[in-house]
Amino acid sequence: MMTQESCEIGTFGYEDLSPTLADARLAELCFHGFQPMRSGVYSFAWRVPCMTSSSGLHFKTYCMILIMVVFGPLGNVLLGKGMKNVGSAAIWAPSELPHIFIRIFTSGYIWLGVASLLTFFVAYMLILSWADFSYVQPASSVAYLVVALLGYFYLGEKIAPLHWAGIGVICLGVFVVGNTPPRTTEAR
Amino acid sequence: MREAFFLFIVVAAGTGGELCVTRAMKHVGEVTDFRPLEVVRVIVRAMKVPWMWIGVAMMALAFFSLLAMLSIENVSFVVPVTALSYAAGALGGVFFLEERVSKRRWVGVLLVCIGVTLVWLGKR
Repeated sequence: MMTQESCEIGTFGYEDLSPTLADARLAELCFHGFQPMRSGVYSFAWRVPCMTSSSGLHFKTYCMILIMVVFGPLGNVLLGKGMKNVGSAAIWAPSELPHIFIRIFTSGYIWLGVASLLTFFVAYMLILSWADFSYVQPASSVAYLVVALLGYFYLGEKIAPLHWAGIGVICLGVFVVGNTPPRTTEAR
Repeated sequence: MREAFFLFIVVAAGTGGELCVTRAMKHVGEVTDFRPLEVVRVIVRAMKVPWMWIGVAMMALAFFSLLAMLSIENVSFVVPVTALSYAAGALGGVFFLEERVSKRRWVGVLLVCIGVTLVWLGKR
């Protein structure tokens, strides 16, 4: 049975590293899902959830991230395609809303989009049951780029250079937001 | 400017919905048992918390606003600008859930805001 228990897999000394380098090494270990613990003044032991030590789990994690990064943006693109057929909300009148809802719920693209987003959501929930949120979320920042690429190649949308730059900065921002400790409300 | 109105609803209702659901789930308590029957029990318990219903209603409103936005603008514009919910999430976490937000996270939020501004300007 898989558990959340962790096991110690090794230690590293810190005498030969400058404090800055040691901190960088610790940050890197945290990012890869390890849980470094200070075991002495100059040494750290690091712990890792037992289940992540198998290469099968790494493969499963990468597969799930791939599913998330493909199906999330694909769902949004399909919703976009479906809504373009429904008509622009810029000219919707309140009296038309029932007809618009009928058109939305009878569109094949909308249902495909919803199914795709549900696939994304299930993969997201599953991956969070064994991987850290701070590991999964930075990986999912790529989704903003994938959405733009799908829009550009599949829907033929025009994207200005400034627009691409903005998408790049958003990806970076989401990566930085995600790559911070997920729990801040209590000390361990 | 209807798209700006819909963006506001997507970000505000989406983030508000998530905050309400988070509050409801904190009330329910940490889930440690993932057997199907236990998960069903947790869902039933969560449904008894009013915050959950408010949260789900807000998320539904955000979803339909997203659809409305997608009917006006390209998907390569709509999805990136909805990343503003990270900013709303950080502010909501601070004021509504009393979470501490690290400097690094604020830097990320600032980058997201700059990126959204660039995307918005690039559309013109």
